[in-house]
Amino acid sequence: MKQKIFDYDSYRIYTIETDKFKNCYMEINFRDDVRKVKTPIRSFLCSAMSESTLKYKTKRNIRIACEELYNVELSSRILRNGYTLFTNFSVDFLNPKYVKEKGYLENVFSFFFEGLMNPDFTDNHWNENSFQLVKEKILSTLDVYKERPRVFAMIDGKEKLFPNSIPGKRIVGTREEIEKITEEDLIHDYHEMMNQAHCDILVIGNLNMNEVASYIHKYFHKSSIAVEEIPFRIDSKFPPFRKLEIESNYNQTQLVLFYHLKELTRKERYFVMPIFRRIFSSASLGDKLNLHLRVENSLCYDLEQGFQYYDSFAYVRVGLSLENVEIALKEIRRSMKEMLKKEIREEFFESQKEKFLKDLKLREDNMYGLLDFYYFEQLEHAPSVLEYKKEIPKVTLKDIQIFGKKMEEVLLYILKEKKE
Amino acid sequence: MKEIKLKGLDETIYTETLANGLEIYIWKNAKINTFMASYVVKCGGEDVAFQVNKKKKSVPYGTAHYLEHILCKDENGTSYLPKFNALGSYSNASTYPDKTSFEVVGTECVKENLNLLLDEVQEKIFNEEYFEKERGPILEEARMRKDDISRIILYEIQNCLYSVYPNRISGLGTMEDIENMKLDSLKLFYDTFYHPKNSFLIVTGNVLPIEVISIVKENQKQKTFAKWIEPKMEKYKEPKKVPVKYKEISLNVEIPQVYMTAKIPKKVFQEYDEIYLIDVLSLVLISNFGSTSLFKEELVQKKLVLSLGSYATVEKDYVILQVSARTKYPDELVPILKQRFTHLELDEKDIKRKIKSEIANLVLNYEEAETVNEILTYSLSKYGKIIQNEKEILESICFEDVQKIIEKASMKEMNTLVVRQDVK
Repeated sequence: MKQKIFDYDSYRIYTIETDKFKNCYMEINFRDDVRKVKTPIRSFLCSAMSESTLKYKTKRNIRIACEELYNVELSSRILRNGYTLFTNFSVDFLNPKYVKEKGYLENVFSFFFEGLMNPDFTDNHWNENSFQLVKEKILSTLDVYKERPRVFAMIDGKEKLFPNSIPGKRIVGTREEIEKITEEDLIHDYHEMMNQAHCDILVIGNLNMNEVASYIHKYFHKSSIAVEEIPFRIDSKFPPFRKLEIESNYNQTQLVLFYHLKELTRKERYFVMPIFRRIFSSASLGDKLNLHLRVENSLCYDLEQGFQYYDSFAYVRVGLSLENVEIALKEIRRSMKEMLKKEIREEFFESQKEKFLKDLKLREDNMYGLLDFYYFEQLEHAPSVLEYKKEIPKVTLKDIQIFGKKMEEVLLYILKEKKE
Repeated sequence: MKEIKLKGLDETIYTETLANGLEIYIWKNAKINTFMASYVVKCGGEDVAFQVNKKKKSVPYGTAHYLEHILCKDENGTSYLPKFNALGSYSNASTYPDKTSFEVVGTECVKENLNLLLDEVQEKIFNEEYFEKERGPILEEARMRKDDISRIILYEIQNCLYSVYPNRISGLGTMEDIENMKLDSLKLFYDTFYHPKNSFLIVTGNVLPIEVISIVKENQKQKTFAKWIEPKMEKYKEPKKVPVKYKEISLNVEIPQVYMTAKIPKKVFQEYDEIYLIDVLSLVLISNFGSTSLFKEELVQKKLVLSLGSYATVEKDYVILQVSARTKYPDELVPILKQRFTHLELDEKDIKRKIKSEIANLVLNYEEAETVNEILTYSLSKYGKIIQNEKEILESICFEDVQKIIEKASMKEMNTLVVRQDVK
C-alpha cells in the first residue's frame, strides 16, 4: 500500500494505491467554516448538482451515463464536524483492469468533473425545472425522520439541548429557510464553494496515481486558494441540568441522557475516549450499560451511545417501556458511578484495549475507512496506526476515571410512548 | 475437500461435508485481514408446524427468535457476546423466516472463534431462570418493531397476498406470543431442527480452507449428536387468488406510499431456471421503474412520485413482483402505476446496458468477507447449492426469452396497498 500526496496551489490530492479492492473510489471535499455558509442553501446545491448538469439535463440521463461506465456510483452529501462543513462529491468505479474498453479511467474522471465544473445554470439562471423539482423533494422529505422514534428523539433532543446554536440546527434547514432559497442563491453559493472553500481530493484503488493526478489536473479547475484555518470543536455552554418529557404517538418510549463532554487533551480524545466508551457502553453486552440495563434488569433491547467531541456532548439512548424509565435512569447513573470509582475488572479493561487495536485491522479492510483514516491523520493530526499501537496500552484506569469526570449530565429527554 | 469454481469470476469455493452431515463452505481472500463465519440452521420464524415421526407438532410464532436469543447465552446464563469480544471479534445472530444464522467477524484467533461459534449453537443446556430473564429484552425488541413502518407494511402486504402461507405473521411473534412463550417450545424446536445435518457453516475471508476444515472436524469429533429425525415440514397449499385486492391503511408516515404486488404461480414459468427467471424479471422491473426509466422520469417531472422501487422474488410456489412509490398524490398515481405495472414495456438497449452493470456488480461482490458470506448464505438457503454460473446466466439472457417471460407474467392476481398519513 502506497500513500502519496499531490500538492497543487488550490487543492491537494491524497492517494492510496492498493490492490486490496476491485473497486476504486474518489471523493472531493470542499471544506468551509459553517458560520460562513448558509447550510440550507449548500444542502440544496448538493442535491441540485446531483439532479442535473449542463450536459445531462435529468437524473435519468446522469444514471444512463453511469451505467455506460459499468455502473459508476455518484453521490453527494454534506456533513458537519464542529465548525467544519464538508461538502462532498464522490464516485465509486470499477478497477480499469476489469474493463476491456480503452480510456475507461479517463472517461470516469471526465464524466465526474464535467458535472462538478458545469452545474445546470446559464446566465445566472439555474435550470428552473430542476430547481423546482429539487425544492419540492427537499420540502416533501423534510419531516420523514419523524417516522422513526429513535431518529426523532435524537434530532428533537439536540434541538432542545442546543436551542438556536449550530449543533442543534439541521443542516438541511427549516421549511421557511428552504422555501426562501432562490436560483441566484444556488449560483452564488456554487461560486463561493469553488472559490472560498478549502479543497481536498481523495483517491483509493489499484491505480497509477500519477496518471490519476494528471486527469484531475486536466478536468478540475480551481484557481483560488483558501488559507484561513477552520477550527473543529465547538465549545458549547449548557444551562443547568433539565428534564424534558415529550408526548408522542410511538409505541416505545425513548430515553436520551445528554452529557456535556468537556474539553479533552489529545491523549484523552484519541486514546482514552475509545476505551472509555467500550467499557461504558459498547463491549457486546459485557459493558456497564448493557450489563446493568439489559442483562441484569431485562429493561431494553435497543441501547446506543454516542460521543460527539466536536459538538462537546455525549449521549446514551435507550428504547424501553415508560414504566421502566426511572429504573433505567438509576442504572445508567450507577454505570457512570462505577466508571468514576474505577470499578472495572483489570482483565476486561486490558481486553478492551487489545480489542481496539484489533479493530484497526478491521478498518483496513474497508476502502472508505482506510481513506478516512489517512485523511484525518493529515488534516487533524489524528494518530497513525503506529501511534495507536504505542499509546493505547498506556491508558490506565485513572485515565478512565479522569475522563468520566469530564462528562456532566445536562439534559434528560424522554419521548413518551402513546397512552393505551 | 472439493473445489467449486465460480465461472467467469476467478473465484473458488472450497467445500466438505462432515460425517455428521454438517456442510462447510469456504472462500479465501488473503488480501484482507477480516474473516467471517456463519453457522446457519435451516429453520426460522415461519417454521411453526411440522411432523416428527408422523406426529404433528406445533410451536407458537416467535419460538425460533426466542431460541436464537437463548442460544446466545451459555449454561450459566452469561452471554456469548463478551466471550467473542474478548477474542477481538464481533458476533451476532439473526432469525429469518426460513433460517437462523449465528455469526462472528474477526481478524485473529480463527480456531478459538470457530470453536466458540460451534459450541454456542451446539452445546445447549436450557435453564428456566435465564429463559425468563430474556423475555424483557425480546418484548422490547417487539415493541421497537411496532414502530418500524416498513415492517408493518410488509406484513400488511403478506396478509393481502396470502391466506395460507405462514409468512403472514411476524417471526417475532405477537407481544402475547412472547409473554406466553414456554421453555418447552424452545426445547422442542431445538431438538427438532438444530442438527448438523440441517445446518451449514460458511467461513469467508482471510482463512486457510484446510485449516478451517481441520478445526471444525476436531471440534465435531468431541461432540455426539442424536440421530437426525428428519422432521416433515407442514405443506401449505396457497390458493392462486389474493385474498385482498385493494386496501388502505393509515400509519405514522410523513409521505403516503403505494405498493402493487402481483402473485403469479411459479409453474407458469416452468421451462425457465429460477435464477434466470428472477434475473430477467428484476431487469424488466428496473428498466420500467428504475432510475433510467422514462416512465419514472415523467412521474418525477409531474411531481407524482418522490421515489419509485421494484423487486422480483420467489415465495414458495409463487413468483412475486412488486412496485412501490412514495407519493403525495396516491389517488392520482394508483391508476397510472397500475396501467404500467400490468403492461410492462421492454427496451432491449436498456436491458442490455443493465446486464453489463449487473456483471460489474457481480465481480465487485467478491471482495469483502461479509458480502461473500451473505451471498453464499443466500444461495444455500434459497437454492440449496452454490450458484457457479451466475455470470454466465446473466450473459445468456436473450431478448426473445425476456419477451416470452413477460407475456406469461399475468398480473391478474395482484394487491394494491395505499398507506396514508395517520392524521391523528
